[in-house]
Amino acid sequence: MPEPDPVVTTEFLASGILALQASAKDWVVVRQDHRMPPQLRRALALLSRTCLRDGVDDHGSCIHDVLAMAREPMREWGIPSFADTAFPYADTVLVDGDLGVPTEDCITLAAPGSEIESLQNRQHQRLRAAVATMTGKRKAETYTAIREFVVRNPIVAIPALKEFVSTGGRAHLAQEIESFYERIPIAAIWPDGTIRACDSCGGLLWPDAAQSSYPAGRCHLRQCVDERPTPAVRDVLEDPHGYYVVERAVNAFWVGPGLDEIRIYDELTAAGVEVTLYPQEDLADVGRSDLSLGIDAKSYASPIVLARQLSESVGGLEAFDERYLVVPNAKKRHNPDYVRQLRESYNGAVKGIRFMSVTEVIADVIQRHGPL
Amino acid sequence: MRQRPALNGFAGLLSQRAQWLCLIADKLLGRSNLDQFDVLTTGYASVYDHPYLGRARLALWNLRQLGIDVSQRRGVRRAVNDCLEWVAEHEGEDGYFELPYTIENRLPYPFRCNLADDDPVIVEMLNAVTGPLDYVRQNYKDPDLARPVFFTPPGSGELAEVITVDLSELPELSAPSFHDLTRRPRGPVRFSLVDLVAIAEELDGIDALHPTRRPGNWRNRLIDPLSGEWKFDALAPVSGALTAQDEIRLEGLRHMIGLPGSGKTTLIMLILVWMSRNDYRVAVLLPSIETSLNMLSDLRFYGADVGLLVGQTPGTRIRHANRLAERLATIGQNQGYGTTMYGADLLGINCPLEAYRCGPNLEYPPFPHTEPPCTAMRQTTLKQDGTQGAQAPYLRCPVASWCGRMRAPRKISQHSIWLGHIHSADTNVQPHFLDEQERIRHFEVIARTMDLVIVDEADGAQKSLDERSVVSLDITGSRESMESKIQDEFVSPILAGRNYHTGSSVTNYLYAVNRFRMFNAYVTRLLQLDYKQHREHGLLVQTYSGRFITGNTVLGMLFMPENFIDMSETARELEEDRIDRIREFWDDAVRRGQEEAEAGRDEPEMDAARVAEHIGRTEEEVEDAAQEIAAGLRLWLNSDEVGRKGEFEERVRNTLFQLMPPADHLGQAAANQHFSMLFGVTLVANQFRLLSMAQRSMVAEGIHREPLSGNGSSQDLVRLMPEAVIGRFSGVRVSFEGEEGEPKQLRLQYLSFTGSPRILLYRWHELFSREGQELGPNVLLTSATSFLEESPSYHIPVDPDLVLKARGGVEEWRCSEWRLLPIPDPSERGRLLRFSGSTLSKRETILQRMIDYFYDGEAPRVETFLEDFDPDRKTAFVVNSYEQVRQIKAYLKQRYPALGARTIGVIDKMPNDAGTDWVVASQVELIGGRDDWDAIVFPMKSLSRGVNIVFPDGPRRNDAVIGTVVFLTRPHPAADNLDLVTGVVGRGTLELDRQVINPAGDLRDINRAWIAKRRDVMATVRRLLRFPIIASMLGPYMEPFTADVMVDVLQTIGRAMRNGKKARVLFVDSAWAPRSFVVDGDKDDTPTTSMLVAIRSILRKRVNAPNPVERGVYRALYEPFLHPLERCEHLREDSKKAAAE
Repeated sequence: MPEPDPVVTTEFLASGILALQASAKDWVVVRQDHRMPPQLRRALALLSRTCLRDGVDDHGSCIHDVLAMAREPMREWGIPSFADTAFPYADTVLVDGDLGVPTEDCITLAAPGSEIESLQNRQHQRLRAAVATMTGKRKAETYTAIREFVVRNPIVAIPALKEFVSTGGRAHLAQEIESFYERIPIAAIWPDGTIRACDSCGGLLWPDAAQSSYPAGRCHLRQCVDERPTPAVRDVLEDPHGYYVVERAVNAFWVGPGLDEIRIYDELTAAGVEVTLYPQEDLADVGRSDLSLGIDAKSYASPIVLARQLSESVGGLEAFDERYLVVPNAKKRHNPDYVRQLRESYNGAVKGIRFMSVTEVIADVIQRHGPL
Repeated sequence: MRQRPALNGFAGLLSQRAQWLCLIADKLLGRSNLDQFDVLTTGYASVYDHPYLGRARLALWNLRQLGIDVSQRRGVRRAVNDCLEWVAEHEGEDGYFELPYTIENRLPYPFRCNLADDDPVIVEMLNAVTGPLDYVRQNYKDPDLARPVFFTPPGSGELAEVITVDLSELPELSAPSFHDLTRRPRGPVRFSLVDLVAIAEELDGIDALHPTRRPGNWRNRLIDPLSGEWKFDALAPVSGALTAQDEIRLEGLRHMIGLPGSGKTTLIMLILVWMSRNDYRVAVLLPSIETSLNMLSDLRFYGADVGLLVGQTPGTRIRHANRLAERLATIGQNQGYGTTMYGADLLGINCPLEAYRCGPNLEYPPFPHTEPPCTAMRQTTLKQDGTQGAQAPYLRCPVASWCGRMRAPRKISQHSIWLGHIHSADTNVQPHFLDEQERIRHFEVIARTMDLVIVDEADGAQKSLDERSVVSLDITGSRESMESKIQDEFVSPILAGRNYHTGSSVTNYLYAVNRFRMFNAYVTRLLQLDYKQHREHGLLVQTYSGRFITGNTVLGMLFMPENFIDMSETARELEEDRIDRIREFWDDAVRRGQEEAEAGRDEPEMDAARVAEHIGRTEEEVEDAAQEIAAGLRLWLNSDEVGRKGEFEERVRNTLFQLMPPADHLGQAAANQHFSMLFGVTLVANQFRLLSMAQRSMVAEGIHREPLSGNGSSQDLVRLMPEAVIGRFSGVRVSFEGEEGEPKQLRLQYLSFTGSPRILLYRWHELFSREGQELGPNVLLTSATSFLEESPSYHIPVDPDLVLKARGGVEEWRCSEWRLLPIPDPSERGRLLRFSGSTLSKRETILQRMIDYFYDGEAPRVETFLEDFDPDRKTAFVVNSYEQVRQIKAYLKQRYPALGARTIGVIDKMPNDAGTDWVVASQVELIGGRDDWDAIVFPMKSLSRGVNIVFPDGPRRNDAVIGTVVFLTRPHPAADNLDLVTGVVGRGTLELDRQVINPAGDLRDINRAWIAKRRDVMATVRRLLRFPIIASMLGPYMEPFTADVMVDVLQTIGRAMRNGKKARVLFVDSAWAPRSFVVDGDKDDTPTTSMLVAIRSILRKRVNAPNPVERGVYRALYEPFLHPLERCEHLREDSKKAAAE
């Protein structure tokens, strides 16, 4: 596991401090027992790890010390990473000592979701920032190529990654692209020293204590497990040190949703329908760059929640003439009424959206746009 | 814990313990049987050091350290049986070794040695047992950082998901510094008072460099700056009189009485700095971790090399962390949010390893920060071909050399002064900080390596230790219960396939466990049925709920006459003797039934003739009934249907009742119910004893990771100390818990007396002398209330070696005023408010009327008190519980909001809407400097010793802020309180430990001394446990009871006398002296009716003690209390009766 990014640690610590505040209704005194929010505990552990890497004392073990320290700008905490000129939050104060509340900075910094989302947002921002330096068509192509590569290669041989990075004018993005990957976690290495790739998504199959249920190991990518609960092994890779695996935030936010996107793209292309992945820098998942056709895949567990979300905004899909909102086949398998409930619950302003499953959308688009 | 000797001959130390007994008896004591051998493993100093033991001393010491103790009931017989069973099981196996001794399974257990004296087996055994034993080495590995390590979160069971940790990115960490176990104490310590003055001046110099910090004025604390006179005298007994000393010599065990205001704490601080400057090593045990942290902060400021000794078990850590949180909540604004304090870093909980967690899911299972894997991580071994092996040894966490969580235990290895609580000493040294990973406890490290141990408030420490002589353990009805742990650690794994244990010990254990569960189920059903049918009014629920029950308690219910309490003393004694005989009979009969019918019986447990005589039957009738009860019980055990079991129970019951009819006042139904209780409790208690003995070997078998004992002392401390004089006496406690309207959960708790931790205070200085360690640490026991002979819990029976007494000045305490303050009950003319003894439903109203008395009117008394005694000093209202504090505060808020806000409530758990008018006990000291309050209300024992409320500065600096103490209630322990019992047991054990047994005598004399003391203490304990602790029923035990309570009362009043100040004490509850409270009453109080009169009579006796030194000490100690008590307004004493009593 790579060393924690001080920015992510800070955002996560801010979230933890907010969570502490939120739990304060029935928990007035700050305590270190089981009542402490888990995200604060993890944030403190990340803070400790930062201290350890920086060669200073452990400042993360006691919440009282941390909250007292947080009344001062972070550069004064005695932790070199937070005093570094490159660290953007060096002047940030997280706790208002007089009022005994988190500061506005803390509230703003607090990552909206989990640590993993915070991580993903940060990586995505970095990629977009790097791509933004490019111009015109190449900009969109590069973004698409990188995302497609990542989704198709959750495990990648190191030379293959190097090759991808060094070609197609992507060399200057090497650092960003490589940050999507990490070395193989040691917990994923099997007792025989190998790693296994999932036949369905290409990601890691982890050894599991429940061997009788998962003799081939266990895939932990939700969308993949939905599709195929008992995985099979695609490859047994001998030398774990020769490979990288996508970082877990990228796995959750790109690779998981990307499985259906890639499948739709591949099958439409194979059928002769001209489409592209992530057109116009991700306005939709699959579509045409001229905005005549856009397909967005969503894998919410509940059709009602998804409908509510979409009713507020359908995002980039609005820009397309012909709009498809696609849900995984597994959702329909688990709940045959999923698509109908979604359609009926949707009441957004954007009209003319076709709701269907992955298999259905492929058939529908081929029928409408495929070669005669 | 000591390493068992590894022998070439035979293995299995425990099952063959009889062989070792024979070896010692034969080769070292010259005996040919094991008769009376049990007393030799009791562990008393008086036994070890008896000349009869001679060469056997170390061997017997070693046996006890190895866990071989045959002093419990039939211990020798069991040892012999186990040995014979082992032989039967293994004879004929390949490599079977003939055991050195053949023992006959009958009294007096004669044995024969099969080997020559110079046989290698005998020589090896003798060598093994006659040299000092090494410590067990723990075998935690250091991890290979390149490979994953894993652990299972505690309590989740073997099949739970594991958490994997990736330490490959860990930066290089320096090795932790290890404890130096080779250091030895340097012997006696001496210093002059002039040395201390030099230190005081040095500290004043340091203060001068820090003008913003409040100075200590150290020199002025020792010497009056105007007169140049010493402010106190250090008195030592010389030729029968207390004489001032100018040198203090600490050698061996020392008892120092520090009279209030004499500067005991100042002296301790200066001694510590002096010791630190002179490279001595000292452990200081204080009343609490909070006091330790305060002292730590001061000592560090002055450059002393000091660390915090604090318990490391998850529960202890959380407890201290919570206290820290509560303390912060009132010293800082905003409930302590964003505030920290000195030492908080030593009580941090969070573990950094979560940031190294690895795996597909980083959120589940949750990382166990409150119980992190410091020694729970494992790593699979690697085979030679690089693939993983089958083993996964435990690791010591490499991050422990840096992490904040381990900061306190890590740093202590580097410090020369340790501060902590007495219980902190009985904790394991973490293997991370020991080069050889010895399984050793801090108190052992102290005994082996330190120069001085100071136990401050030693009487309180003694009481704390006594509390640990009772192990209380939930049998059933909670997640932590024994039943639940047996299920998790033993039954579940077997069901899940771990059924490969074939050793007879494990199978036997399984059988015993099954019976144990059956007996639990019986008692649970019995009480639940009673509750279901009659709720709180059920006979059994009413009689037994919340009490300590032994078979004896229930026998008392069954067979004692209704008018027992009113009987004359002599008649009561006779009745008690009869009950004892019935118990002897019943225990014997039940034990026969629990054993198989053909079990050989060595000695009669009961004396049938004596039983027969006491109950008016023939010996034959008694013997027949015992046989019949045993037969009925066996049938009961074999039946597995409730109805049939009922029939067999009836058969047993009828037999018992035919032999001895239950008390007349009991109807048939009630007698039957009490009988069922007797039946169940006896079975559960007997079986529990069996199981807890078997658990020791189950730990060795790897079934349990540790014995399932409760919160008693560590096994190591138990082995180093003698057995409690009453042995492992035990019983159960029953309670119903749960929300109103919900089905009540029955909780069965087992209580068992194990060990005698208080002896540590008296033996620390020579703890390992029997192993040849010549010099131990010097031990200084110090307190202001540790000398009161009548108090079993607090008295330290070591003549004072040093008495610190303030010199000169006005004896302001002579102006103290104590008085009874009868408050008329407004609801009933002519009646006075009496809290103690009133029905529960009326108590809250009575408290409210008392509060009205002090808070109502134009000039409320609580305000005039600020002026009319000693201006600016405030009032303390003393009650018995936190619940009463809550009630009073709620009433004040509603009725007298303005004054109520100026009355501080001391509470255990802060209310959610708490303002500054609430504090938890650990913050009380800090209110001394506040002026936003007039009064404080607290439960008597809530303020730990050493916590003082004094003026922090100004002309009254260090004077007590509290001037008036109002006792709204008479202190009384809860009916199920065990303090008096543990005190009596502790005292008896200590007496036997320090007794000199006739040096010319032999084993018989040693045995006789033990049995006599045991019988004596046991009789008291049985008597005390038979009834709830209620003052009016204590009879001859009223005096020790009063003396124990008195120490707490005087400690409380003492808070208003800091710096020698006068105090006004008001006793409001008429229960303090019921007869005196009746105006113009015709009867006066006696020590039996009034606790105040009882206190006075004890104090009078003490200050007139015949020994002049003792008398001097007692006068110095207690005159400030006796003087005003003699003049206590309204207290009327029946002097004739008092003299008679």
